Order: sequence, then structure tokens, then C-alpha cells
Amino acid sequence: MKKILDMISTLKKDNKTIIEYINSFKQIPKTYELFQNNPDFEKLKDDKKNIDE
Amino acid sequence: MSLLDDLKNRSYQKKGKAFINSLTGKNETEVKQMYLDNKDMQSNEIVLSHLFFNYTFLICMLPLEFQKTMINSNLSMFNYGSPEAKKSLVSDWLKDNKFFMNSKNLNLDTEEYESYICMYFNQPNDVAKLFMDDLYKVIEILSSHDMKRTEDIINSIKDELTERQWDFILKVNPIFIKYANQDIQNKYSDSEEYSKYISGEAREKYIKNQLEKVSSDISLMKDMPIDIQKEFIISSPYMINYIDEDLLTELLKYDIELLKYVNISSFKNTEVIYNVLENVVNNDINEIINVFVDKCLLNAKGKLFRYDKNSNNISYQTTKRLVRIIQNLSIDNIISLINIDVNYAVTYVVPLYNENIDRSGKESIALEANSRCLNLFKAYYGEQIYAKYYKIINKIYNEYISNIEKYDWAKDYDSIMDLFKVIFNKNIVLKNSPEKLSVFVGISLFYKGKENNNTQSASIKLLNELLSNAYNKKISLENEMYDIMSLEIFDNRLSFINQDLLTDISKYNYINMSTLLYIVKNEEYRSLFVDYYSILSKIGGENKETLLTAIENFTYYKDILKDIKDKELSNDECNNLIRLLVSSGNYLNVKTKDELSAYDINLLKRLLSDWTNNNDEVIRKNLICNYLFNKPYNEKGDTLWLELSTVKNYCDICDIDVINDLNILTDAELKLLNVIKLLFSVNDSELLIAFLDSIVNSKIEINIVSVMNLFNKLKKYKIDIINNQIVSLDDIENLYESSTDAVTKEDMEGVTIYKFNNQDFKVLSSFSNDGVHYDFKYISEITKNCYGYNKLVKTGSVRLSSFENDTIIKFNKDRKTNNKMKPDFIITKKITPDIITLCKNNNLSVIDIVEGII
Repeated sequence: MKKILDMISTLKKDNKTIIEYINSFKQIPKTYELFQNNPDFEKLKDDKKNIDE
Repeated sequence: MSLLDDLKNRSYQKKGKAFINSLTGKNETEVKQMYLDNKDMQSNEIVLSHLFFNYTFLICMLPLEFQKTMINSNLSMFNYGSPEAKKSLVSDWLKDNKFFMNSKNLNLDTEEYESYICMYFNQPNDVAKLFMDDLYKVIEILSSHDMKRTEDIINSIKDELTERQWDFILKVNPIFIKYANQDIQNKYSDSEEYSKYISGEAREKYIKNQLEKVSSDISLMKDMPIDIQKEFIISSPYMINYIDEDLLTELLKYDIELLKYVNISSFKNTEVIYNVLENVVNNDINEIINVFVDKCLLNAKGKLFRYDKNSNNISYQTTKRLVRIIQNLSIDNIISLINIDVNYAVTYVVPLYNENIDRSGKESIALEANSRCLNLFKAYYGEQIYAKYYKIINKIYNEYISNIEKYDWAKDYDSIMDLFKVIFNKNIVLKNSPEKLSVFVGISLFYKGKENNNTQSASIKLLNELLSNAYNKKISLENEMYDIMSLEIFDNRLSFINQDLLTDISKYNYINMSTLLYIVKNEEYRSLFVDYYSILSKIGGENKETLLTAIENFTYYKDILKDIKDKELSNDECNNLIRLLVSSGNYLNVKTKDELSAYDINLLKRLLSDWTNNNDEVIRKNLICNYLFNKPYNEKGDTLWLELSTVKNYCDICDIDVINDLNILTDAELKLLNVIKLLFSVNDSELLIAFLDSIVNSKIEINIVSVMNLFNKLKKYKIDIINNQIVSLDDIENLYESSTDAVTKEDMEGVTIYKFNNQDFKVLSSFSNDGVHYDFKYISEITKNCYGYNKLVKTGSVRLSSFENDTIIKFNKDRKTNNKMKPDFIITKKITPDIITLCKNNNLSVIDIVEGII
């Protein structure tokens, strides 16, 4: 039990999956085309570079 | 006979005759009360025989065995018997194969007749005694009520059945041939109608074909045999929420285990659950506990009061239909339930009548309830304790009858029927004196309805003493009994749960307290549940939602929790365990450590297979949201009782700028929320599968806890998120002061009217004027008159819910009091004199959306 509870504490702080989800979204070629005029997408602007690459 | 016996006999006869004489001239209510108050007469044969023949209305209150004996010799009196006596008598007739002969003299209606036939479910061996048309009729009725159990019966008696009996059984439904021996199967194997049900290659081919057909067209499902329907749901569980209610009812009656796939909150107000419950009432107690308690379908309520008389929602309403279901249980079965949760007793002993019957009719029914309560009490505690308490019980009913209109349990928030929570609590009764209990009941009855603080405080003091003795600890409640939904929250076996949380949760009526008590009263379950609850609490915090989720889902995880108890788990297994336990229903039925090791891979395989088998955009959104975020996209993908907010709800209420300003998410979390909003704003499966493909190709180890943490933060701050987006009257006034072009202001009979030019903004408005449902949308989207509010107050419970395709807000859903949402303005398209009067009387302003809004 202790191992599981400790692991949960670690998992809570670990953003790796969240960053991977964001990167996965950016790597979809269709994403840019679909949302380029959406103001919400503009809020991810800093990362647009990655998509273009 | 000795002289002493002779004297005793004479005295017995004399007392009996005197009692009989004393009944002369008394009305029905008085006769019933006199009978219930004279315990000695309840075993006096002379009195009982006299009552049986002269007071037919009293037959249902006479001792069970006496009723049975007398009715058996006088079948015309059958309908006057108590339900318990009639059922017991019929059970005997089924054993002796006399039911069909006797039933001809009973003048039964179809419903009652079939309910007696259904008693064969509990007496399967007696089915084998039937022949020809009787057998056909029984199997036909049984299979129409519960196909699965009919199959179980046939399976259990298959070796006793003759070839001739099989002919009649198969005439009802060829599906039963799968239970017949080889000779019978050979006899029918040439016919295609039968061969598809015989195990082997033909059967497998048949199932495969049928599943393919239904996958391509769900509407074909309703014409398929029930076992094929079940196979289909097992292969595509999420589809259970897309079939019609009749089909769902039949499927759940066929196999209640399919319930775990159902979005139960969508059906709490429908016939589906009632039908399942009504179907199970005559089953054996294990099945009743499985459905009522283990599956949480009919937990005892903490209050009888109807919060919403128009609602049939079974999660927090004690509807009359639910009461009838409970009252149809046998005494043995209700006792088993009371041992789990005392509150079941309260529902069993209330008088059940329609509003439109006259006072004497209500009195009569209340006295029958009084008798039912006494019988239950005697069976529960035994004769000795019964003798000390029966007058206390009669006192409660007498008080109820004296105030029958005012004390109606469905309307009276503090019903005196709540006193039975104390009377049937074994800890209280066995660890306190009858005198103390009698004083408590007396004071509670006296204080009821009177604003006398002295008697109220005396009642609370006595309750504390009763409870402290009952649970061997100091209990200092400040509230009276009526405010404590379950007195069993003081049970020391619940000590692992925060006491404040338990007390708070016991203020609600809808909670699954019976299920929680069932778990903690079983030592093994309790130990597993403690582990399970601590894992969920660590992830979601120790709060009501975590506790309720744990209670609802424990049944599906107890096997795996048991298997891994005290075993060393690898990091991957720990991660899989966490991912499994936070999901609901244990779809992949993981029961062992080995199965746990492969959980992540099997989950992905399952997602891909479900994805391939379905091309509906919303179903696919649900599949992917559940996989990635452990959250459904919309309510169709949700399987929990408690309406947890969906991904769509959060997309609807979350404005990225507002969340950013509130500073509640990390930068990465905010970006992910933005990604989610974009990803699900379009119906594009190609995009979703590309996203999934990208994730799978990255071979990332999914950390469901961190994603859930994001949604937990949104849940925690949802009131702030909403309040920071809505416009209040102060905001409008500020706008008016800074720009009269944007907003105009006028006075109409002392009421302030605001009108806008080219302005659109979000407001919090009433959705259905019931004090519970609120809307949150742009003013240009409002189509009808409604109240507006400056803010959502933080003192009440707030849940996001779905109505049609919109997200609405439920506020303080289950509280009787403490609703502090007061309107600040009215939003209208047309100002009328009535609106102006309403505003004047309630000090409200008006937002006029007739013109100018774009």
C-alpha cells in the first residue's frame, strides 16, 4: 500500500504525460490547418513553431 | 386435566369472552387498536376464531400460522389474508402441486396470479412436479418475467425432466434445448430453429453471424434472442447506453451484472430501474442484496420526506413505488436488509395509501402498518424484547393516526416514522433500557410540532445518551434525530472515514449508506475497502465524491484487491492498478495480479477494437476521453451514479483567459485544457485517431493521476470559474457609468431597466425556477423570461449537469434549507406590468433584451 500511495504523490507532480499529450496534438499535420483561425489556438501560439517544423 | 389446568382454561375462556364482548359497538379502527394493545388475546384461540369469522378486516393482522390454517380450510377468505400469509400458503401449495387446483377458487387478478407463479423461482424443484399445460403456463410466465432465472431453473432440474415435459418446455422457447440431454437434442437437431441453440459449431457460427449483424445495425438487436443481446453488450459494452429502455430492462433482468456498463444516472428516473427492482423482490436474499445493496440500486433512504413530489428519481426520493417494493419483501428478507442498514425498517413499516382515500381508510391502513411493524419487531428481536417494546410501537402509530393528515410521512420533513431508526437499531435497543427508550419516544412525540426548546434539548440529550451507550463512545450531537439521516454513522467500523465527512454526508438523502454499511460490516470487505478508499482519496482528496465513487465501484474491484493484498507489485503493476481503480465498473474484469500486469496493453487493445467497431463521433469521443482522461466526454459515456462532470461540461464552462487569470492551473495544464477544448470542438474522428496514434507512437507511459489532477482542480474551482465569467448588476452599472452608448438605463415605477447596444455577455440565470437548476450562457442565447443572479454562492453544493446538448448547473440539489441563491434581476424580452410588480416587490432590476443585443 505504501508503495502505491507514494507513487500517487509522485504521479501527481509529474507533468510528463500532459506535455506528451500537448506535443502529440501539435504533431498532427491536420491540427494547424483546422484551427489556424481559432482564437483559442492562437493562445498556443508560442508552440506554433513546433508545428511548422 | 388437572384442577389447575381446568381453572386456567376457564379463566382463559372468560378473558377471551370478555374481550369479545368489549368489541361490541366499536368501529374498525378501535377494534384493530384494541387487538394490537392486548397482546394476551393474540394467542387466545377463542378470540382469534371469533375475529376470523366476524371481523374480516382484522384477518391480515392475526398470527401468521393461524391465518394460514384457517384460510386453508376457508379458501373464500384468502383475499383477506396478509401478503405474508398468502405467500406462505401458496408456497405450501406449490410444494404439494395444489396451486392450480386451489387457485380456481381464489378469484385472483392476473398480476397477483403471476406473482404467485413467480414464487417457483425460489422453489425450482417444484417445477419438475408439473406436467402438460401447467408446466407450459409456468415456464411461459417465468420466462416472461425473468429469462435468466428460468434458464437457471431448467438447468437445475434438467435431469429430472421426462421427454414429454421437455416437449412442453421447448414449446415455450426453443432456447431451452441447450439444457436438454443428448437424446432430446438429437430428437430436435434437424430443425434449424433448435440447432442454433445446441452447443457446438452450429451455435458458434450462429452467434458470430448475429453479432456481425447487430454491429452493423443496432436496431436489429431487439429481435434477437436475449442471450445474443447479452453477448453483443459484452463485446461492445458502451453500446448499452444507446439501446432503448425496454431492451435495457430485459437485459438487466436477464443479467444484472451488465449494470456496470450502464450510465445509471440517466435511468434513475425511469421505468428501467423500477422494473429491475420489482423483478428481484421475490428472488432469494442473495440476489436482493446483490441488486439493492451491492449494485446500489435500492439503498435505504435517510428520510422518507419527498423532496420533489413530481420526481421519481430513486436516488434521493422515497417514492411510493419504492415503498411498495420494500413492503413486498418477506419478513426474513427485510430482516436481512435491516441487519445491513436499519433504515430499511423505516420504509417497511410506513402506512402506504393513496392521497384520495378518506380518513377512516387511512387509519385502517396505518393500523395494518402497525401490525406489520409489530410482526417485524417480534421476528427481529424475539418474544421477550417484543413484550417490553410493543406498547412503545403502538404509541407511535396512535400518535400518527391522531394526526394522520399533518404527519403524512411523504410530506412531513421530520416524520415520526423516523423514530423507527432508533427502535430497530439493535445497538440502541440492546444496550439501553426500555424505560429510557420509552421516555425518548415520549419526549420526541411530545416535542414534535411544538416550538419548545426545553423538550427539544431534552430529546437531543437523551439521543446522545442512547447513542453513546449503543456505540461505546461519547457522542455529543447538537442536532435532533430528524437531522441525522443514519444513526449508524457512529459505528466504530466506519472510523477510517473522516467523521466530519460522514456527518456531512449523512445530511444528504441520496447517498449509498446501505452499501457502505454492508461493506464495513463484513470484515474482509472492510479491510479491502480501506485500501481502496485510501488510494482514491490520495488521488481525488477525501471528499463526498471520492467516498461515493468508492462505494459504488467497490463491488467490481474487490477480487483484484483481494488477489494483490500483501503482494509485492512492480512499478508498472502499481501504475496499472491506479489506472484500473480510478476507472469505473472494471470493464476488463481484472481479477488477478497477472491480469493487472497486462492491463495497460489490454486497455489500448480494447480501445482500438471499440473504435474500429464504431463510427459514431460522440461514442468515439467518449471512448477516447475515458481512455486518456478517465472521464466521459458526455453523460452517455458516464457510468457512475453520482453525476460527475463530463469533459464536455468543462469545455463548456472553461474560458482559457479566465482560467489563466485565476492562476489555478500550471502552464502545461492550461495548454492541455486548451488542446482538449480544440480537439473536441469539432466532430472529426480523423483528428482524434491521429491524436491517439501520435500518443501511441510516442510510447508514453500514461499518468492518469496527473490528468485527473487537472480536472480535479477545475472541479474545485468551478464556482470561481463561472463567477469570473458572468456579468453582475455592479458590472452593468460600471459599464453604464463609463459608456452610455453601450448601455442605457431608465426607471419604470421605481424599477431600474437596463438596455444594451451591441453588447453580449454571459449571465447566470434560472433554468427552471425550482431553486436547483441554473443556466450559464450568453444573454443573446436567452429565449424566455428568467431570473438573473450576480453570482453563484459558495455555501451550497454545485454540480455541472447536462440538459439536451447544454451544460447546466445544479445547486443545492438535496438540501431542504440553506438555499441562498436569491435573484438580483429579471431578464426579459418583453416588460409587462406583472414583471414590474414582481421587481418592485422583490427589489429586482430588469435586463431588457428586446433590442440592441447582437
